[in-house]
Amino acid sequence: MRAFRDIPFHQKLMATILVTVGLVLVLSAAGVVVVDTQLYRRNIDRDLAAVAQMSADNLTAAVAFNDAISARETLAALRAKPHMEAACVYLESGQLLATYVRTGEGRTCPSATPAESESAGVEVTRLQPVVLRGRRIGTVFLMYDLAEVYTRRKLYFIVVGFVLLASGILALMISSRMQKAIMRPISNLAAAAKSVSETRDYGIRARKISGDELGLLADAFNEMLANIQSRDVELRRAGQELEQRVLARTEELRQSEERFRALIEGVGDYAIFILDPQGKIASWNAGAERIKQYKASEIIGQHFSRFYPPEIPRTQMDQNLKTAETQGRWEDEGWRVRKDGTRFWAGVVITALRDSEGKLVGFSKITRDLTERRRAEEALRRHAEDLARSNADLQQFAYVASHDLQEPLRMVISYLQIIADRYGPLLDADGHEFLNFAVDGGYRMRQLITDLLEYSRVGTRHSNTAPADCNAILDDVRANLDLAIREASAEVTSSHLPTVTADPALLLQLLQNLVSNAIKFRGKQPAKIHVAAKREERAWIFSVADNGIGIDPKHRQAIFEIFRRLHDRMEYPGTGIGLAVCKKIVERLGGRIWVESEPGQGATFFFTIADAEERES
Amino acid sequence: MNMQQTGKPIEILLVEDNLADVRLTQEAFRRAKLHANLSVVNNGEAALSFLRHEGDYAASTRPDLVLLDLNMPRKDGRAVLSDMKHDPNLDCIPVIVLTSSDAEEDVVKSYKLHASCHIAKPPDIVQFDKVVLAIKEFWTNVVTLPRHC
Repeated sequence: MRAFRDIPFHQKLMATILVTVGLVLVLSAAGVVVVDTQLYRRNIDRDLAAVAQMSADNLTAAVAFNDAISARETLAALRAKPHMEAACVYLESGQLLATYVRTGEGRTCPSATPAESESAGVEVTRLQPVVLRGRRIGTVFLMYDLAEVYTRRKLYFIVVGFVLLASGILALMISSRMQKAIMRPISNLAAAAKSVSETRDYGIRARKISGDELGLLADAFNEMLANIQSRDVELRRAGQELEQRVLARTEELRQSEERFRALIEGVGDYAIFILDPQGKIASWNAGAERIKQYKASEIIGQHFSRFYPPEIPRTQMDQNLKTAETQGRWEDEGWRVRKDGTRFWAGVVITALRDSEGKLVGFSKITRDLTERRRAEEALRRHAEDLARSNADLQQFAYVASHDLQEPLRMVISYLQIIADRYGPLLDADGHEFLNFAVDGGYRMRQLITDLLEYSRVGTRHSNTAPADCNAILDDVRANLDLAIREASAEVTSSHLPTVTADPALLLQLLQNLVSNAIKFRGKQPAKIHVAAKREERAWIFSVADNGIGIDPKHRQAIFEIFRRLHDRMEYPGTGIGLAVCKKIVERLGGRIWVESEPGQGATFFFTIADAEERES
Repeated sequence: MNMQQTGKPIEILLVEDNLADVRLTQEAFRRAKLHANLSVVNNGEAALSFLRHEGDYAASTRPDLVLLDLNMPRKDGRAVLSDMKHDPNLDCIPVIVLTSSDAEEDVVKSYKLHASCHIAKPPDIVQFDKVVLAIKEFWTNVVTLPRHC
């Protein structure tokens, strides 16, 4: 069957026609032969029966009279029947009376009466009794040759064979004509499809030959081709458009990359370059060349370990890359080596570079030469250390000096007093006056030393920063200065004051110095002193206003200098330390202090206290 | 029982390296008419020897009161105070720290070491007189001193 399935369609068609025609013919012929044979046999039987009856009737007399000659003559009449092979007449006793055998035939009559008629092989026999007045007197036996039947059949076969041949040829002719009608459209279609598939030319069309299903098929095929063609055109156009866009975008990208590369390569202050995942240098820029002194051609492909001083092990560099890989970034400051072997202090950032799928493709490394900065920082740090040390030394010196100066002074004053007490009677008025000057000088010096000590302590004492309620502190000031306030009939008022984070002891000293100053430098009228505070950005501004003698604006700065006095000691006693201490305290609290005043108009001292967070920063 | 009532002079040991201070103290005692036997040693080691009747001080009298300066060469006053308060034979003797320092840490230190009181040396003789009078009044008229430890 497979062979049939694979043969070309027109052969298939022809085979089908031939087989169909053949089958029809053979079947019809077989039917005709069968029917004809049956009819013919029946005719023969009927004919034989008639002949037998007739012969028996004609032989009645001969048999009755046992007349063999007459019987033979009667039988000889059967000669007219060409297929009668033999005829035999038997007496009732079974004795053969007469025979007829067609010439040329080797047939003989059986010697006795055969038992019955039979029909077998190529002949048929018939027994016919000879009856006289109702009594059987003998028997006629006829043998009939059936060769005629076979001859007839052979003829049929020959005719059928011819018809078959003729119809086969006719079928071939018809089918080849049919083929042309049926096969041409199909072949056309097949050829068109093959041509399309080979040339990819969707402009090819199958020719429509008939209006039948094949015509429809051709139409459908052509329509399909038209669709494909239009889609193909569209696709090609879209493809071209896409190609254009890709080209344009690629060009854009290339330009952008070029600009970017130029930018990176042109950066002179930073060494910016790329490492591959193993740490080998893959790009170089002007900054890298400037800082590290290598040319791009000398360094690309080398491992970045050559920038490190020899004492740093390779494992550490690998570790650095590993850190950059796992954490995205690794930063460091440290010594690196230039091409000429000199070292520079580098700030390094290594960043892992990954593609869109997250795969590590390398690292970017940015190195800055921070040598100058480090040098400057170091100088600054040394300077700050020197300054801090010298400051501490100074504080220590001031403290120790004040302290140690007190001791001899105590002796001077004490013994001068003892002399005055014990030897007073021995001295004249001048002696007493001189002793008084000496003791007074000693006291003043002691005051100066005490003040100096206080001043130095502002810087040295441990600062205790806690929230301090300035209202409570001002109350303490009032209590401490109670005597002075009452003596001067002064009035110290205040607005509500804030709570600030600062050493309460320093705040107390500050406010107390300012208030007592205001009392001291009061005018003729009773002193009125008002303390207030207002909020400024990130700080409080305090003010201590009085109605005292005021200060000439030209002395606004001088009054805050240590031991600076504007007045005669007889008029306003004091060493001139108070405002210097105030200034030092305010500065310690991160603020500033100033005064606004005109002579005779009173004075207002302002100071700021920055918020604790501000001071820390 | 206090000194005033017994009429016996109070035994005071002055531990002071500065001779001017020693004389000033003696002068102040005289001016205050303090009835006292004032012994003087000039350093910490001598003070402990005196208190323990050792060496040159085998015949020393056990003081009722010690006036102790803090800043001395060799063994300073703080070490003397500490040793005394760790010595079961000396720990009940009242010690008045008399020093030029009124720095807070020195004051705290004195009391931590169980000084009976801390007095800043007065800046002039008038003040000194007041201090000595106060000592005389308090330690001879007010308090009762132990005889033994």
